[in-house]
Amino acid sequence: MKTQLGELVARRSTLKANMPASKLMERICKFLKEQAMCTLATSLGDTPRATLLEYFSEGTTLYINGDPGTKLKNIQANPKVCIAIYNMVHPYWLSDDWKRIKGARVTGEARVLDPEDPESIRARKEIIRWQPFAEALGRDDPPPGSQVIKVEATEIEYYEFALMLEGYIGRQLWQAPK
Amino acid sequence: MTELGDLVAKRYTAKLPEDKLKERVLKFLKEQTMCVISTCKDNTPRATALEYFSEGTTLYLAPDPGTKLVNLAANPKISVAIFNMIHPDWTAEDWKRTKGVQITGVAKLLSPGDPEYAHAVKVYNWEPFFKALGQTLADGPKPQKMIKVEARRIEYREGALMLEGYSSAQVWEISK
Repeated sequence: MKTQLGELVARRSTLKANMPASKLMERICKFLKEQAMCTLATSLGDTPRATLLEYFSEGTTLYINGDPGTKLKNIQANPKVCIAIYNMVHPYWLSDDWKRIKGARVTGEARVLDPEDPESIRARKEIIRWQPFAEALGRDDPPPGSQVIKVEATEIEYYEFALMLEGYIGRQLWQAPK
Repeated sequence: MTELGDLVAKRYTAKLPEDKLKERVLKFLKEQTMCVISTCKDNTPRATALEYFSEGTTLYLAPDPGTKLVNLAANPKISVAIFNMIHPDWTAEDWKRTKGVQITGVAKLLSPGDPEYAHAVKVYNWEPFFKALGQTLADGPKPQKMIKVEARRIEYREGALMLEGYSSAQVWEISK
């Protein structure tokens, strides 16, 4: 029995490979704004580390409030990072969830900002919504010890099955201008 | 002071009894379906979101070909993150419901013909995805490789553990 998803996948070769860049950029930025949690991959030597964190975006730049730990040590030694973000923890393929599932993979360079760094101060003022968690803790300042990690994307892969309904393949690539 | 603020100020360090921790971790792994694996090669990390199926502390993944497989063929070290909330609302006490694990382990790439591949394909529940594609398990495409993740260390986090007087971060070291 043919399904809508099966049909779309079957005629994948007839779909357009690239969305117009401005449209893709718009989708990516919107998706990054909609989501809240990311998994940050860092590595040191041959040891990878996946860490779940809350993030806040400004365009294709992500800001993360990080507690001390392996990820910070890794970034200080090796700024290369890769981040996965998705919008469904329980996709149920037999419903129409495939039409809603979206994901992004951000590849870039990370920097741990000094709390006194004007960039850190600006990020905490304008971009990072640290207030809800601070409020839950009964505080009116960011949790002590946490540092701002700034991730500048060099490349973003964007995944959305529903793009096939618009005539595009479900994986689109954005690259930062060199 | 808020309830969370109070609990955090207590800085609980108590460990959950091992059998209870195991039970929670295994239950959590069964409840969830999505994970992010982190692999690396040549000092370059890679994050990949994948569906997984667990058997005890072992995870099975059905990857498309790509960087993750190139990385794992060169370096089997893997770190896996799993969580249960896409949009935690901290002011709505979601801290009582968020759970997550970080698995440190070793990945093995399994190929067709390998008895472990046959087992992996059995544990992995393809049916919903193949059905969504309008295919059956028999005629659906099988991946060239399956990934088996053997956990060596599992870090388990659950805010609600503090309500029971335990540290919200627990570690399960798995002996080989």
